[in-house]
Amino acid sequence: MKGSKEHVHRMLDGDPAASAELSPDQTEELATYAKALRGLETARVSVPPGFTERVMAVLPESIDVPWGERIRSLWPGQGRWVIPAVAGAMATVLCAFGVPLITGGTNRPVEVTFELHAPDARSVELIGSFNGWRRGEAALQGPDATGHWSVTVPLDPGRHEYLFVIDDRQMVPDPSASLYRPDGFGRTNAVIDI
Amino acid sequence: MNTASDASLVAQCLDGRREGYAELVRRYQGPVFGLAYRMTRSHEDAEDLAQETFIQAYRKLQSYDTAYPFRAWVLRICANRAKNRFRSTDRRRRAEEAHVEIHPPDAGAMEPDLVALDEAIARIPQMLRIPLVLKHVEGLPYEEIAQVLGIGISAAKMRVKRGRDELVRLLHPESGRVTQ
Repeated sequence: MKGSKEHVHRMLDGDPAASAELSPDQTEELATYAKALRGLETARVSVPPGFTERVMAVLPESIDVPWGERIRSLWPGQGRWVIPAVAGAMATVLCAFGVPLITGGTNRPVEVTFELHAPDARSVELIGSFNGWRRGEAALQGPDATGHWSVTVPLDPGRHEYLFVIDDRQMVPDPSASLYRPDGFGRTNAVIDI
Repeated sequence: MNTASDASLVAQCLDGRREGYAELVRRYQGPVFGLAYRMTRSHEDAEDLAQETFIQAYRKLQSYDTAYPFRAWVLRICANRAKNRFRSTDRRRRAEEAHVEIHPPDAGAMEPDLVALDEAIARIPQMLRIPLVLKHVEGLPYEEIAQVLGIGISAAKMRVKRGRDELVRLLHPESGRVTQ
């Protein structure tokens, strides 16, 4: 029966060779199929009037651009690569050299002037955490006409503690400091934040 | 009558001239609506499905490969949308299971033979119904049917054959000779 159906299907597909040896049963079967398919062919439905206009009325404004196309469009076209390339090179140079310059600027030492009013002193010296509390490195100049001593030293950014040594024997914290901190040995250091 | 090729009409659309798309809709609304009707069995749903098909096709026009027939491409969109509709609702089961009685909404206006035919088509599984309709209602060649379904030509031929067998079996259940 399968072989006979094959003939029928070949006939329905328009193969005239398949009709050569059709048995009466196969001819009857072919008629049954042909009738069903004729019915199918006449069962075509018609499109409602105005369909095209209704589609056009609700059509989106734009056509989607596929993702592959979008990514390709980001790549500069022929002859249009110079500006993006130069911009990229400049950005690279800025990152390589500019960032260390910018961040390095904040770590540079700052010149700070210390002053003490001591009109009767013979010498005044500055010692502190910034120089390991060593003597003989930062002598204040003075006194001036108003009795003030002063020295300017470079200090790294951060917190420093310091004292003045008057006449090589008396250590006093800066009376004009904004912050003080006990040193743990009964003295008080002046504190400066840079 | 517009004699421009499908490819040139698509190019017009991509160039921003929408009137080219109106011509494409006019050309292929028949097969698209026909397939949509055979999948939904309702003129209203078929119009919705056909309209959605043409809107999606317009959106995706950039991805259309002009090496293939536009008709096959748009029918493929329609078939896929129809499958998705059935997947997302219970209607697929109702339409495909032979145990459920199916009556077309406008059965009263149809000839008795046509009602039987309509019901028989609706009972054919979707996988066979689409190629059968494309072949014997819309008159597509096997090559185009294969493109619509995304399968090989021999597989398309096999599905059409099985669809025919199923149609005849449903129309003539008493006939043992045509029953597989």
